[in-house]
Amino acid sequence: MRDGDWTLVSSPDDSVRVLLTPLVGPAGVDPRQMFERDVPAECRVEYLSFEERQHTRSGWAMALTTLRVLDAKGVERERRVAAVLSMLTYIGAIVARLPNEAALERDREQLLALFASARPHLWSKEPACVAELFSMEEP
Amino acid sequence: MIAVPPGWTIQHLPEAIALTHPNGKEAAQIHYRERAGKPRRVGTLAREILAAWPRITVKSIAPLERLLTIEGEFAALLGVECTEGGRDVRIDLGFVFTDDFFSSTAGTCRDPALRQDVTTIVRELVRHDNLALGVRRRRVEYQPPKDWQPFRRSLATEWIPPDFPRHDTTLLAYPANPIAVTGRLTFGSAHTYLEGLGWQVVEASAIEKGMTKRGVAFEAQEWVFARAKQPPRKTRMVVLADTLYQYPFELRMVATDNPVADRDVLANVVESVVPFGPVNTSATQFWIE
Repeated sequence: MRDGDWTLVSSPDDSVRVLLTPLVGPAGVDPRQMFERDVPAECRVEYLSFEERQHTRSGWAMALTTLRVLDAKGVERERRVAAVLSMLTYIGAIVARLPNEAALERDREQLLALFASARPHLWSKEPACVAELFSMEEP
Repeated sequence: MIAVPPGWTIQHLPEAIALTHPNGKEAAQIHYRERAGKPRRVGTLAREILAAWPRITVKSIAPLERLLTIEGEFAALLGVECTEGGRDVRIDLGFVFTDDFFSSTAGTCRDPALRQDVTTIVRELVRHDNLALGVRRRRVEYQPPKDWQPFRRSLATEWIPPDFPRHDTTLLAYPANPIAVTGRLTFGSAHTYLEGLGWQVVEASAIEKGMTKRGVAFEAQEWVFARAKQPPRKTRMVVLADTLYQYPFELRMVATDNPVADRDVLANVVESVVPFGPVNTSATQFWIE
């Protein structure tokens, strides 16, 4: 499902939502904006961990972070685990949103495997070669 | 720029011109935009243009027809059968693609008796579209390697394999260089360029010579280059050439690799190169003093 330029994938019971950002140029990009998308105004974010120097299966550099969203009373409303990916000159993120820590622990392996499977989709509306101009398909 | 067909009238619009058939716009009209936007796929452009006519229903789209303009630019034609309020309408779309923009020609014919004429007129307008871009550095046509992805670098495109960067090889398709304007690229000049960046060419193979099935001659060379604190790299460069252009391609890899499969990928791309045809000097000589 598309959410603007983002793509949303949900688990069958909708308890886990994974958001994929588009790849963007690195200039001026703050990955926290990707991690903290749709945090309610009355809530705050607490970062719990940050692991650099990770890699996807095909070798793209990846950093992982875990954060939680707390309401005004300090009660956890949501837990997120996210991967920020450096691909050529682009940056992209995958943000998994879960209801709580237990849900994250339950799905952690599956989510890490999903992050590790990330690969860029570099085809765009602007053709990269002459042959592509003469296609009737969408990129 | 296109010519006005005899008897048709012209109306200048902010970003286009409208040409109207002598029998009126209910009979046939042609809209032309010279700088219509960034080039995109024909299918994408056609869908966008047709969607802008809300009362038109598309019945069928004929197979895309490719052609070159008399200036040697890439072009495409698309015939579209439509209905509008129960009446048949024929739309002929034509696109001319340059590296930076495309021009669009859209003929709308509501009079069945004029359909063939309008289709022919649109074709000839597209074929004679006068963009006056002359001989220049530009993208050449080749078939991209299957399943590899493009990383656009201005007029060049770097292709990366599905398992990149673990599979640390890329294929660089450079723009075609007009020899008379930019001079002739040699492998020696490529080495000099690398050395200017601080690399040292430590090993170079003998130059191979060959010919593609389309009859385009090429030369190829491999070299290993290195610099302090960096692993050595290897390049296989193939430069195709005809009398007007050189078409360089480069496979970049880790020096210790000997990827036969990647060399085959490069060989297939090289075989697929479609060189530019002879220059129509009457269409391009405005650039030649």
